[in-house]
Amino acid sequence: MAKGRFAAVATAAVAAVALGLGASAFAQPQQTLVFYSAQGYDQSEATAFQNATGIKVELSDMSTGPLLAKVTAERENPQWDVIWFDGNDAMANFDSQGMLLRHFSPSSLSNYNALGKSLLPADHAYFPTGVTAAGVIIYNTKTVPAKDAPRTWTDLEKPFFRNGVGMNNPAVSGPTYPIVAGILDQMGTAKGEQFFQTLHKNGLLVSATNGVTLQALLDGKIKAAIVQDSAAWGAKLAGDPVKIVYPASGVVELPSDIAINAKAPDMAAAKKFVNFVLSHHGQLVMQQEKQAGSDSLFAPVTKGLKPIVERGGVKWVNLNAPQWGAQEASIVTWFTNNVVR
Amino acid sequence: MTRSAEVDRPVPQPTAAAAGPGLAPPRRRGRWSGGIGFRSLGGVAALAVIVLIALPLLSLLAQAAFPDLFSVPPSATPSLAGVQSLMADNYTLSAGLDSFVLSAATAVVASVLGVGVAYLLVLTDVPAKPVLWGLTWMVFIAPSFLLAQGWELLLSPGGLASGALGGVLGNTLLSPFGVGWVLALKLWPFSTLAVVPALEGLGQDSVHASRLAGASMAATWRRILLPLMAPAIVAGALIIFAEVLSDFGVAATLAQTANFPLVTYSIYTAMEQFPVNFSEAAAASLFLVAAVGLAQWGQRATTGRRLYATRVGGGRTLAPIPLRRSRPWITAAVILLAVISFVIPAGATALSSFVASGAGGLDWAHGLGLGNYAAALHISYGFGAFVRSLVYAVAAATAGVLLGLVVTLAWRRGGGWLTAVLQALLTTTIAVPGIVLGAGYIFFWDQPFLNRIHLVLYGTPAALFLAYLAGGMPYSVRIATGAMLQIPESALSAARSSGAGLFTTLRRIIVPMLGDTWVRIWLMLFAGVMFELPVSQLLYPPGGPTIAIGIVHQFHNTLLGVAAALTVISTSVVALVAGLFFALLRSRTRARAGTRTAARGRVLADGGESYLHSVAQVAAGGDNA
Repeated sequence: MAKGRFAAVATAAVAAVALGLGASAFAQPQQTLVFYSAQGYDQSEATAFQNATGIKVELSDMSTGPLLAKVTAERENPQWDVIWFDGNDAMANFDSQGMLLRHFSPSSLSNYNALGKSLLPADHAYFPTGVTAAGVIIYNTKTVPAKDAPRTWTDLEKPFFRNGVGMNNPAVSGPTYPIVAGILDQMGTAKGEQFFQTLHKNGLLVSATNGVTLQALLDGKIKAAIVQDSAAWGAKLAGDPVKIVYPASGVVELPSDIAINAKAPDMAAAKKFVNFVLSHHGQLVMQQEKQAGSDSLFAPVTKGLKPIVERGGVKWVNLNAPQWGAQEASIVTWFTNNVVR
Repeated sequence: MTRSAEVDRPVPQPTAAAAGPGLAPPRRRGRWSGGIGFRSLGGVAALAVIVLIALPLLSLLAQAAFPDLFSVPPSATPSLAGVQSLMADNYTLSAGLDSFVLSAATAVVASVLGVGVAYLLVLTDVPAKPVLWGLTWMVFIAPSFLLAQGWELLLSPGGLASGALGGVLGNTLLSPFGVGWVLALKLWPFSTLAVVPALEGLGQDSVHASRLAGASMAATWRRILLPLMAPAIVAGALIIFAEVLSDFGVAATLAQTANFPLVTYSIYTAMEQFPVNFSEAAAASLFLVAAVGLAQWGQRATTGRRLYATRVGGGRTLAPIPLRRSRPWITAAVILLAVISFVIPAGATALSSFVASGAGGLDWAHGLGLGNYAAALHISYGFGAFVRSLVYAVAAATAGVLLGLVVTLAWRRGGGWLTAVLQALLTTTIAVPGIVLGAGYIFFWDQPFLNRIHLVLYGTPAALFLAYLAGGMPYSVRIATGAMLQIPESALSAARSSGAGLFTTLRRIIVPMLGDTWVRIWLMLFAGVMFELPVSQLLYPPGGPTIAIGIVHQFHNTLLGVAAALTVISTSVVALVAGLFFALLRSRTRARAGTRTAARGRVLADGGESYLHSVAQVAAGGDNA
């Protein structure tokens, strides 16, 4: 009797697991949008779209690194309809491999302003939805008097900023590689490398992410930092004693791009979604800062959308995505060897 | 005995000869069902390890040599470009050496701490044992990011400890030495939990006997405790070694800031740069696998070929070993351990959950409040994600214990070359970072041919469940193997020759004797799944985020306080579950203690007395009994 009960329980447990697996194995999702994203506003956008259209959205939110790894690993049999993350180089690479839907022109395309149009690739393989500056200078007004305020990148090399500058590690923080590439692009490789090595010699503090770097700045451990401008504006809006500097030589554009899978399982829903995101309603959803945090502080790429923060006259620099994308691995390794260590 | 040696080999027809001479069971039916049960275990174990771990992992690792295996179109052209790009940089070489040395050193330090705590818990009269048990479990359960986050909050410039002490502490911790300590302070419970079952089997009697025979405490440790605990200690140390090898959190934060490159860092760089270099990540992972392989070989060479049945005594104990004069010192040491391994780092995170967070980080200016907790309950990645994680954790822990039992039983006495290979593979899995296992799952379970046979697991909860199970299996099997070694072979062969089948043997011997071990393994898997991040990020079905995803999402949106609140809530709930579990277990154990001891006395061939006698002989300097 007792033996029978034990056997029965064990068999039932195994059967339950097997049934669970079997059931999910045959459950084919129907009429749903599968959406991979690394944006702070992705959940708000998914909810708004679902409410507006009744199409179910299944969101996979993760950091940019895992997202790119996931999409690359799925290449043989992609499961996603739409991807959304920051940075042109990865999108351009996916496009060159034929992974993205080309030549799609949603009706909302007419909403683009000049900045938006300048970022739209000719084959419409991906669509900019907002722009931030990959890196700006932010300084603590309590520790930096007006006469010492930095105005250019090379001002950070001055003795005043010895042991007083911080930035993120490009091997860990997504938006930091474009900063490094942008400075190498502007100054030329030799001078750019020299710039980072000088900062390193002067005691550059390299942290993992924007949050850590900003905390060091607010605590007075460093006087100035190079961070993504949305994060910098986030600190300023929170009332922290900081000022933000856009060097006149220009800052690298970091567009957030959205794209459709060339083999999207639900192509119709994917097209509707992209059109929705670029519509005025969709753009307003991206600005719901309470849910999205500082990602909402982007510079608009559509007409009639008022930015949450006023950046003033910024000289945007558009990096050549294929050229700098190809060098990413070697530059990050160089940075790790010569600046981080 | 010839009969028991047959157990793992699948023999198609049990013949009279296979039963062995002189072991004719009284009931033919019983023997038959027992034989089939035990034999089929080997097949189930092999299948499970191959499908859950071997195939997915090899799908990725093979790309070290065949980088285009999963390209479009796929190609099996071999190329060592990944290995070359890894070796081109002497950074990798020093990272490899650092990883190896750090892991070994941490394993030693954590094992010393862990064995010490296990000894105090099981054999001595150390005060406030429930508190010490609680500490062990809390450090074990607490997600590593809770503790890492705590240290970061403390040590970050302007953090809680930013004064003079903070400077000294920060400089110490931001060194290879400090990195090792932070890891050891998180990982020592692995050793404790591996060693406790062995010590419980041993009981205090052996120590008393040894002391009565005139041996000093040091001699008792050297001649009795350490040799008998050796397999459990080594099993725990091996897990810690592999855990450190595969750790990324500390590698990316403390170690990186301390200019102390580690291999996992290279793997993540290869996986998270663009274009993703799976080939290089695979090559670096193979290094970790080789390092654990080496450690495993070392384990086999030192402790692999001896018998370690410690569950041989009859009654549980005479009396706990008194700590006497060292009692205050030991109590102080335990309190210190509690403070630095849990109270400080967890406290820092808990404190930050009451502080408002602006975009620039935590905003200390506005004092403390409950705003983050209110927000945590209303965000879209909060409650639902937590419940989902809870379900995954219960399912994966339960399946992990069942499967661990099957595999452990099947591999109990070794087997053919396949078993040896799978066994080695299982432990090396611990050294493979979660992101590598997760990517392997995508490569294997997202192949187009699976669509054609309607086996669509990827993108469903099933794939994540299986990956959690795969991640937990090595722990489950390693701990259970250590525990299973303590059941004397005589008990099992006695059961078999009395006609007991697989289920009877399980129910009457293995489960009762190692019941607590299964509960511990269950909790270990439960807590591990609850806060797992890298595998979840890659495999969670769209629309079904887990709590770790939710916490990271808050970090991403620089809502550090909300992230801390979510961490505190979910850790507390897990701790509560663990607490209830133990309370239940304890009352049940107490109620059944009498019958169990009696049953054990009936089953076991060795009598307690003869065992004590032999222990005393060993202690007094006699030859190995």
